[in-house]
Amino acid sequence: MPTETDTKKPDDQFVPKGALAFFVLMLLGFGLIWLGMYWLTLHRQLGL
Amino acid sequence: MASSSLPPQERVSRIEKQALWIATLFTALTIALIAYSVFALHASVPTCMPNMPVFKHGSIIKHGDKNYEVDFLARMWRFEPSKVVVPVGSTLDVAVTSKDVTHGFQILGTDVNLMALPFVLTTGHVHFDKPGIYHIVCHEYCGAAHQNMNALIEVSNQVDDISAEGLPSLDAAHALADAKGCLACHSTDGTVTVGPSFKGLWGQTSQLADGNTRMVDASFIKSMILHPEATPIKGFDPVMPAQALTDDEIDQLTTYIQELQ
Amino acid sequence: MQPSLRAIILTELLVPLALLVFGAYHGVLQVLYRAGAIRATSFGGIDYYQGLTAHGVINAIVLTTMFAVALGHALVSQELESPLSIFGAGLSLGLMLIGAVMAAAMIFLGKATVLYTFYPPLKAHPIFYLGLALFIVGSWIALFTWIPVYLRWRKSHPGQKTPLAVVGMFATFIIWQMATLPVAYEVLVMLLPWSLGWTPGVNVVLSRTLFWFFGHPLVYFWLLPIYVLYYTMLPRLAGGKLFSDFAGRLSFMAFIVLSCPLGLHHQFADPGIPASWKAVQTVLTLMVAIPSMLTAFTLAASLEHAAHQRGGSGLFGWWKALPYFSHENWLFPYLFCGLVIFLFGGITGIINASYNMNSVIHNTAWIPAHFHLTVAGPVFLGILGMSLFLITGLLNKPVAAIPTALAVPYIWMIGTFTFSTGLFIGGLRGEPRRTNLGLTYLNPASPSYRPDWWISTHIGAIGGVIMGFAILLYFVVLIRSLLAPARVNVAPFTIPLSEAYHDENVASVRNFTPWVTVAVVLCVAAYYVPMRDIIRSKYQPAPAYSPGSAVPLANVR
Repeated sequence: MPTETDTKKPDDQFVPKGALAFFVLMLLGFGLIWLGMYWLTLHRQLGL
Repeated sequence: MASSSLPPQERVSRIEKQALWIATLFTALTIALIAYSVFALHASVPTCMPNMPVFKHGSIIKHGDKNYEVDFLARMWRFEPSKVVVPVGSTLDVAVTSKDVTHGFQILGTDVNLMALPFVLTTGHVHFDKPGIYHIVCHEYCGAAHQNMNALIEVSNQVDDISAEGLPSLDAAHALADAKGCLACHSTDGTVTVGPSFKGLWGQTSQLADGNTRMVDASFIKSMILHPEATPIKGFDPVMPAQALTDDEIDQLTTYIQELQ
Repeated sequence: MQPSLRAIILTELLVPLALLVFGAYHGVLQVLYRAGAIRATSFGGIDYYQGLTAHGVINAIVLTTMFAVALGHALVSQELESPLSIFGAGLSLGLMLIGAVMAAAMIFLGKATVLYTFYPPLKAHPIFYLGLALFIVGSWIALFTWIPVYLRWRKSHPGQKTPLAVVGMFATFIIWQMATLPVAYEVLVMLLPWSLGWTPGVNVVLSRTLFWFFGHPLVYFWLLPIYVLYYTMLPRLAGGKLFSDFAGRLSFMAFIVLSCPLGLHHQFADPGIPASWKAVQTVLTLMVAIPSMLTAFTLAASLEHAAHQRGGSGLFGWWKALPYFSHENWLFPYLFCGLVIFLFGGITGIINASYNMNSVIHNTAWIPAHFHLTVAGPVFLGILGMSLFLITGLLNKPVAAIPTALAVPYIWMIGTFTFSTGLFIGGLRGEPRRTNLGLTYLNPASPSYRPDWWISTHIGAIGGVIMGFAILLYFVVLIRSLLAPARVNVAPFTIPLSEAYHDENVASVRNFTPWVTVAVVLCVAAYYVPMRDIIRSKYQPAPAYSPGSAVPLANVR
């Protein structure tokens, strides 16, 4: 099958800003859930 | 099909590097927060305590005012002790080991969550500043009656010292029943677990799985110990293992059961 | 494709799917036991723990391994444009089948009710251990058949990048090779002689450590074939290209390095392992999250590119443009729903690995909630979808009932989210895993009754039933497809793989050797001190017990 790179460099027009936005939101969400469990751990250990 | 011939020298796109940095930052933050809880807040996990002597029976030990140690023996299928009562404000060091297979030991609502391995010691530490019932659960599959295996700690403001139940008695016949594994499946207080309770068993009419009946007397007890597979009992799974006990041992157990009417 | 290879691949896909009928059946049964809908030691002649053993071995060992081998055969032969040794592939299949039959027979006879982790001193029948060993050896042979083909290809294509799908399958099986050596030792040298009565006891700490050395990379063995589908098939299914070829290669190489030196995070609660080394492996575990995060970004970027081709735009609006219900690209939701599920599987895995945070969730119902969002999420859906794709493709059958086929991954996703919600909540409230709750904790007549576990177990049960329903629909599609008449005048079957949008040429990811070398060094570095401590501590050998009795087996007549 023909490949893109046989011709010229692929256009650099496409910048996945939406993917980056999703990625940042994903990690923020992960962070919140993780912090919730971090708090629960310290609560059970120290009675905070 | 993906391109596999040598492409022009293309470098990794900037946005990908950004994503990689953000991911690394996230990971670094989690490591930093864990490190903080360990070094500043003294959080820990069970560790290796090599060549520590391991106890053979559960016990409770007072180290000072409201400062106790409880040695829990995990065994198929109970904890010894099965219940501990302590005053509010107590600090407990728990030590746990197993008599037989791998068990779990979690004091629910606290951070004590341990694995009990045979011949290996593990420890935990908990402070109780609120009254209540704290359940202890075995959470590692340890055989047929795993779901029966639990204990509890009662934290009470009605007591000023520690007490416990479910510790082994020194009675010789009871010790024999324990050592031979009878008490794993037969309780002595009337509770039906894997097998019928010894309490009140003597003189009962036993319903066999094949429809016949037998009276629980000395000869039936002897045949159940030596050949349990010959007479499965209705309503119970036929899992009792045959054991090669001596006549003297069988007599002791028979007397024991007779005494538990 | 060689007709014999096609037959081998089809067998490797169909046999586990047939076993899955029972594996899934007992999954549904388990949630009913756990909710107290069944309050007995057994149902339908199968004991709870026996069924649990079958569920784990069939679903998490047999299905996943045979699928990985089949996918590898298909992709390696296609992408390297070479036939494979039929003797090797056939020997591999033969050993896997014999091993699986031996293990399954012992499980169904009730002689191996030890769960898929088979922790001693609970002892199974020797044929169970031997069967597992043969199964694993069979899976090794697959890699051995691919290596000569790969080496020949590299020689005859100098300077060319190895196709990404091949890199991914090789990474999968390189990891597997490293991971299985310690467990093969545990099974063949420690457990098998002990189960035959030749040795009086087994070192429990050592056997657990060897098992979990294997047990963590096992999950990457499960995941990486699916990552191959994500990197090489998903972008094209969505209508676009893989955003970065380099990201795929880098991820696979990073997994080779970081899959193995992490097993201690499954032993946080164990005695016998120094806490400092548990901490070292915690740091390594959190680092292995990075290639998965990179994958998430790259796949999102690829999907965004595809969405743009389909007319999507905006910062978030483009998600709407993806082919969620396309008949032609029915495989897309199997992969996409797996990714959605994996978001939650991933973060809960990171939580489990966070050192002291483990004490909140170890051995509670939280754990199966987590892994039903990973192995029973992206991995299982990928296996179901790709198996259907390969089976129908290789047999020239159409996929029957496509609307039903499309519904399966969505219903499965609803099911797993419901199931895991119930078990996450239950786990935080102390519900244990691996426990027949219905007999005691969920039995009002029992002194151990826990009415506060009613709601979480019932949510889990609803989720489990929905999952069972999704599998039922899948089997309807599979069987109807198998029964449909073959299509005629069809082009030879190939697996359509994506092109790369950024086709970078980065030298460091062009060769396995340096990465494998670092992996081995890291494993030794991460495990040397703990293993040395275990061996020096001279733990007393533990005698064998059968699950049904508290009397040691040595004492039983």
